[in-house]
Amino acid sequence: MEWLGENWQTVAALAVVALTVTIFALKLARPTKKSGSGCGEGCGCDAKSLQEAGKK
Amino acid sequence: MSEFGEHTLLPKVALVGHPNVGKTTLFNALTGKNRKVGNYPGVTVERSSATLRTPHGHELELLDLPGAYSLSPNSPDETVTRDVLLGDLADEPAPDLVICVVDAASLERHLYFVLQVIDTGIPVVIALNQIDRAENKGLRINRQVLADELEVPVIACQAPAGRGIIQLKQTLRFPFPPPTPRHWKGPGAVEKAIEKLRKKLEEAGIERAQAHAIHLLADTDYRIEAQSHLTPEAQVAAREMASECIAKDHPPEDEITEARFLCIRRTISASVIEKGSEAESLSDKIDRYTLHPFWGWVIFGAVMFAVFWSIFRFAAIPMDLIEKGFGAMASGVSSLLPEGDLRDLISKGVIEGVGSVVIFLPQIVLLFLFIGLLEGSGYMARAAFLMDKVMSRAGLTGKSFLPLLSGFACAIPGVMAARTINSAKERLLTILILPWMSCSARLPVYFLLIPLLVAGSLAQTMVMFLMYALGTGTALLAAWILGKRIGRSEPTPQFLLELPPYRLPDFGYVLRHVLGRALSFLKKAGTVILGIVIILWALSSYPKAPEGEDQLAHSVMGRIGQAIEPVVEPLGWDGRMGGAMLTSFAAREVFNGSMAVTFAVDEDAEEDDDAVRDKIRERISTAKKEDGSPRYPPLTIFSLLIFYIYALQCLPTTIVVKNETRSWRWALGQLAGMSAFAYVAALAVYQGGKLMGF
Repeated sequence: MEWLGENWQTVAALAVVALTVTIFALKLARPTKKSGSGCGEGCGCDAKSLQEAGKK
Repeated sequence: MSEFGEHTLLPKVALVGHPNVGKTTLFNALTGKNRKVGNYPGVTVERSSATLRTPHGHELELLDLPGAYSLSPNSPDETVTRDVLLGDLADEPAPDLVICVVDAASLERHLYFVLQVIDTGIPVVIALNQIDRAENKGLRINRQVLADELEVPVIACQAPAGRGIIQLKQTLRFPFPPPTPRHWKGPGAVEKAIEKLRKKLEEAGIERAQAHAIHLLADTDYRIEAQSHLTPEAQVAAREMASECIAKDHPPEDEITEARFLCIRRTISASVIEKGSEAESLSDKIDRYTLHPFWGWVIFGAVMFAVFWSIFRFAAIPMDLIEKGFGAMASGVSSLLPEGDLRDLISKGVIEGVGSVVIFLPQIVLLFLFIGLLEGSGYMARAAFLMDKVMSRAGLTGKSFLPLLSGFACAIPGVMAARTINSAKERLLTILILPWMSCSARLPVYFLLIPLLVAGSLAQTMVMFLMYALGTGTALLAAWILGKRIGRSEPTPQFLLELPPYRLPDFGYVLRHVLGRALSFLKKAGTVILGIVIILWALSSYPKAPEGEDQLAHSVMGRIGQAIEPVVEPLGWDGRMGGAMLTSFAAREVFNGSMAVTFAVDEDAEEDDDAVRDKIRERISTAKKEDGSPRYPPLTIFSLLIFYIYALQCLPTTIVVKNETRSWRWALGQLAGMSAFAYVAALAVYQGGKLMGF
């Protein structure tokens, strides 16, 4: 990492932050797939399985 | 008969029955799907189906219809069941066969619904579920006689044990049995009316004319309310026929009901032998205490208290292990990397931020484990029964209990479960107050802050209990107040609840459910919360402060905190707490991460190997104002807790409320109202406490 000089940690940390912001921005910009469950299926409820069963 | 379903082109078999009769368990047993099995009514809300293969290799679509007590509907989900069976739904052709699930121990009560289903003209198979319970109750059901009386196959089942499943699948062979003729006969005037109406409906090109003719005469509401699939002429004809019958002193509703009950009495006396029916079952004996007007509440309070106490008591060991694990990770990073931003990001941002949330996994797992066990044992249905009385005082019924109980896990499935409530007003009230049930996202915040208020697991349990009681109590009070202002007054809705027998919970199901919750929690910590703490670390670490200046005060986060400080200062908070509160509008748990990151940045770098949770608590409790007094006295912590009980910091909930109420007005009004209430309540607590000398 010598080619980056003393600030290589700052550059690496900022790169991680920039990547995180980009991922969030892409997620926000992407047209949302309509999820009937509404909860984003992250809360651990059964909405997703009910949804999938309903589609069959 | 069969269009074999536009959806799947497969023959369609529908599963119907009273709520809580074990339909969903049977559905899972038949299809192998792992679906939620509750002990209280109304678990089936949405259309749910799965493909089923019979022992003969045929594929079928099995449709799990919402639970219904009657085909004369009393709620939106019962209306769906009626409409599907009558073939009245545009995108849902009537099923080719119906499996009618009945509780063998309460056969007489279920047979009216069976007769209504038979009258739809669809072939019926009866699944005599919970046959073990009937046998324990001293009921001997002669299945052959029952099958002969009703002219339908009758299969005895015990769905949780897998008993009768193969036999039930055997009855689904092709060709399906022909429709069963109806078994009751009304007086001449009613029979003539049915026949005349059937002919008129056939002439009008209405499908399933016989079923519609019977239903039009048997159900006044169906005859009067506009039905999109029936011509106005058909309804006019039905009203004329009904008037003719009434003129002859034979009101068709009463006569048809009476004829069906006569048929039920005949069938029961021929097929059921009661021996020792007076003997009290074990469930009945237990219910004498659990449903007692006084002891019932004592037991309810003791059970809930034991749950919360156990959470604080037994989660300590795994929490310490997780804490040590995160501490070791932070130490490892510190020893591997020289001092610098990347080391700070990993140890103070990622490890402390994510660790401050993940640390509470054992408590969340224990809470869901206990809820699952109480649900699986049958106790939750008793709790709903007890709560009905309290809820009626707030203008709600026990029907709101299931959605409100779901709200303790997550408000979103709770809001969706409110669809089972038949009264529109009660449904809206339930949705509006539901976010005040303390959901699992609040738990990490409670678990972080409560030990700052009191020490010892007993005292902490009491405060935790108070948090839940405050949220629930205020919610019911709000329902009572709002109920007088929203909509027109309605008669108190009826609450029907079947109490399942006490039984050993399905441990496999409970553990799978708990595992699902734990994985969801970890997924959220590893994605959304990880991302947010990385951004928060950057906001707290840049721009860099000149030598000798306070880094946090100089950072973006510090400046946001300073900007918000005048707003939150009356609540006893400072800018750091205000900033952390703002970030938790993304997800409540982020509060812990924000506090961990901002406090870590604020302190020197020599404490990396300390335990994450204790480190945040220590920094909060030792922080001082310029005059040397504690920066965060207990009153400030209490004001913060009060804010978290009441604030609606969950955007997905607002969107689901908008979808369910079909109105942004209610959704945004709820968001604004709850946020304002949270602020005012926290303000009142802090300022009131100060006035009282705390």
